[in-house]
Amino acid sequence: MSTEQLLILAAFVFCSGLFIALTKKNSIFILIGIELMLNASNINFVAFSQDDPTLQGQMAAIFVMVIAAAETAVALAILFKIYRHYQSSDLKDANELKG
Amino acid sequence: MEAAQNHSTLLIILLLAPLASAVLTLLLRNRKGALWLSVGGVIISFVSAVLLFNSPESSAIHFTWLSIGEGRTLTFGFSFDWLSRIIAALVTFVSLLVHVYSVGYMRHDTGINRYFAFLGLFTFSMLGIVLSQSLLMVFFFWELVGFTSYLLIGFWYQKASANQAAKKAFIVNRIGDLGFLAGIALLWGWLGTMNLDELQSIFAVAQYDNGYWLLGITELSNLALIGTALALFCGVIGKSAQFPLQVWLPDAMEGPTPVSALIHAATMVAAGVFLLARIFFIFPVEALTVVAIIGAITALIGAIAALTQTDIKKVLAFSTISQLGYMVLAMGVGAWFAALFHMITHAFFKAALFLSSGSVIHSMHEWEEKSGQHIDPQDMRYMGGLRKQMPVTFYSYLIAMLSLAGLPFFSGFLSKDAIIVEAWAWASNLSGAGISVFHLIPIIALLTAFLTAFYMGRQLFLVFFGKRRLPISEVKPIEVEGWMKWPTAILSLLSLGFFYSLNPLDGEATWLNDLLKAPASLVSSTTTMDTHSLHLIMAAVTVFLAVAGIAVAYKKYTDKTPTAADQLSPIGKFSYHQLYFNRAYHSAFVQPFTKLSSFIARFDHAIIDGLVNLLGVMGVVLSQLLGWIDRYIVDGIVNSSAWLSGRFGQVTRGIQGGNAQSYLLWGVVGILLMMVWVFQFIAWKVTF
Repeated sequence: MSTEQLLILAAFVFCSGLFIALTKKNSIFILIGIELMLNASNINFVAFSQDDPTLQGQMAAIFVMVIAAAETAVALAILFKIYRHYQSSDLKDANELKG
Repeated sequence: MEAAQNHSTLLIILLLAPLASAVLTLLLRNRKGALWLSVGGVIISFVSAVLLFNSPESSAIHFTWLSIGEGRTLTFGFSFDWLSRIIAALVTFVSLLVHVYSVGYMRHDTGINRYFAFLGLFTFSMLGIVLSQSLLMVFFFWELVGFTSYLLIGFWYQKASANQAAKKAFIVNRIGDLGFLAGIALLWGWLGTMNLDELQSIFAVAQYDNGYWLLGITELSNLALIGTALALFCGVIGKSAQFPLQVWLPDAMEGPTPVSALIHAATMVAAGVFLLARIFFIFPVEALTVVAIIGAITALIGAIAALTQTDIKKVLAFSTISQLGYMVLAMGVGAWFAALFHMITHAFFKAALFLSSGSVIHSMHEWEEKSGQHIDPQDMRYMGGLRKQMPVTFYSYLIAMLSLAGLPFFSGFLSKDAIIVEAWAWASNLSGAGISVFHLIPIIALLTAFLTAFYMGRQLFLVFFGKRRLPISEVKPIEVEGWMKWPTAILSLLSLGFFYSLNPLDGEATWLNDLLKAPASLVSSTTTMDTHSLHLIMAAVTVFLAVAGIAVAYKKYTDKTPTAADQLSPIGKFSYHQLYFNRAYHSAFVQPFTKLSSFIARFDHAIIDGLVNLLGVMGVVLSQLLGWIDRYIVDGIVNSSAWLSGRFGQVTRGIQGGNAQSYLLWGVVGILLMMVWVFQFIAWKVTF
C-alpha cells in the first residue's frame, strides 16, 4: 500500500478514535477511542518508516504499543476505582472538580 | 532624739487611729464589732493625746510637700504647742464621750456602721485642723470637717428636711470657705509661705511705717493686710456660724443629737475660733474691730432667736451661735486667752446640754412608741416635770445650764466674765476717758448674758419643772440607760468652776492661762484700766444679770402651760422666725437666683436649643442627601461592577464543568488552533 493510502487510513482511524473519545458516555468506549488514536499514530510511524532503512519509525511504533499496553492497564484500574466510587461508568458523573 | 521619735509616733497614732477605725467600721458588716472598733479607736486617740502632754514644746514633724519655682516650697507639718495639745485632748475626750453616748442613742438605728464611720472620720479631720501647721493643710482638713458635717446632718437621708439642712450647711459653708481660700492665696502671694510658724516669726518683727507694714522683706499696705485678714475671717464666719452666715446651724439640728453635741456645739463650730486664735497675729487693729462687731452682732441675734423657740434643740443651736459670737467678740477685742477659755468651757457644758436634750428626746420618743400617742418628741411644749423621772439627766442639765447662764462656781462664769472684762477694758482703752460708741460691744455682751440666762431658764422650767404636759396615758417617760446618762454626767461635772480655777471669781487665774500664751500681736495693748476692780464690778453685774434672767424665766414659765402668745407678739414673731434671716436670704438670694436660673433655662430652651435643633435638622437633611447619593450612585457603581464580574465568572466557569470530555474537546480545539497558526506561519514564511 502506498504511503498516501496509509496516511488516509491513519487519519480515518484517528478521527474515529477522537469522535469516540469525545462523544461516548461510557468510559470504556473513551478508552477504546484513545487506543484507536494511538494506533492511528502507529500507522503513521509505520507508513513513514517504509522509506527509512534505519527502521526508527517501526521501533517507535513498538514503543508506543508498549506504552499503550501499560497505559491501558493503569487506565482500566482507574476506571474500575471510579466505577466503585460513583457506581457509574459514565465520565460525566465524575465531575467533583468542576468550577 | 528617741523621745522625739516617740512623740512623732504618738502624734501619728493620735491622728490616724480614728481614721483607721472609721475605714474598718465601714468595711465591717458586724454591728457590735463596729461599736467596739470605733470606741476603741477614739480611746487610743485620747490616750495618745494625753501622753503627748509630756512631749517637749518644740516637737513637731515637718516635710516639704512640693516646691514651686525658686525658693517657694510648701512645707507641711504638725505642730504641737500647748494650744494644739489642749484642743486635741478636748476633741478626743468629747468625741470619746459622744461615741459612748451614741452606743445607747443609736442602738436601734440600722445605719450604725455608717454613723460610727462618719464620727471617726470627723474626729480625724478635726484633729487634723488642730495639729496642722500649714494653713493649706488646715484648709484641707477644714473642708473635710465640712464634708463630714454634711454627711452627719444628712445621716437620716430618708428625711427630706435632713437632706435640705445638709445641703444648706454645705453651701453656706462654701461661701465662707471661698474667702478663706482667697486669704490663704493672698498670704502665699505676698509672703510666700503658708506655714504658721514662719508666718508668726515674720509678723513678730513686723514694723509699721506710714500706712505700710514691713514684713520680713515684703512691704505690705495696711489696707492689703486688713483685706487678707478679713478674707481669712470669712472662713471663720462660715464655720463658726457668725453673722451673716449663721443660718445653717439651726437647720443642722436635723442630724442625730450626739452629732449636734460633738460637731455643732463642741468642736467643729469652735474650729473657727481656733483658727482665729492660730492666725490672730495677722490681724491689724481695724480688722480686729470688724471681728469684734461681727461677734457682737452674732451673740445678740443668736440670743434673741433663742428666746421663743419651741424645739429643744433649736434653743441650744441658737445658744451655740450666740456663744460662738461671744468667742469671736473676745478675739476681736484682743482677749485671745479669754476666747479660747470660753471655747473650752463651752465645749463641755454645751456638749452636756446637747446630750441631756438628746436623752430627753430619746425618752420622749420611747414614750411615744410605748403609749401609741403621737407627739413631736423635740417640742418643749409637751415636756415638763421631767426632773422626777430623769434625775441624772436633770442634774447634768442643771449644772451645764447654770454654767452657760454664768453663775459663779461654774466654768461658764469664769470664761464669760473674762470676756466681758476684757471687752470693757478694750472699749475704755479705745475711747480714752468716758463712754463711747465702743462700749456698745461690752454692753451687747452683758445684754446677751442676761438673755442667755433667760432662755436657758425658760428651757429648764419648760422641760424639767412644772406639770407633765404629755397627753394622758398610763406610760411615764423614764430615765435613759447608763450608756447615755453617764457620759452626760461626766461632761457636766467638768463644767464646774474649780476644775479651772481655785478662785471662783477670777477667770484669768486659771491654770490654762499659764499654758496658753497669746502670740505677739500687731496691736499693741496698753491697758490703762485697773482690771482687778473691773473684775469685781463686772462679776457682780454678770451674776446679777444671770440671776435676773433666770428669775424672769421662772416667773414667766414655771408651772404654766406655755401658749402660742409667745410667738405672736411682734418681738416674739421676730425672734421665733429667727429674725427673718432665712426669709430675707430667700428673697434676696435664693429667689433672684431661681428667677435668673429659670430665665436662663428659658433662654436655653428657646434659643440655644433652637440653634442646636436647627443644626440637628440640617444635619439630618444633609445626611439624607448623602445617603441617597451613597445608595444610588456609589452603591450602584459597586453593585454593577460586582454584577459584571459575576456574569463574566458564570461564562468562564462553564468551561470547567468537571466533564473530562469537554476538556478533551477544548484540548483538541486548542491543538487545531495551534496547528492552524503554525501552518499560517509556515505559509507566511513561504510567501515571503
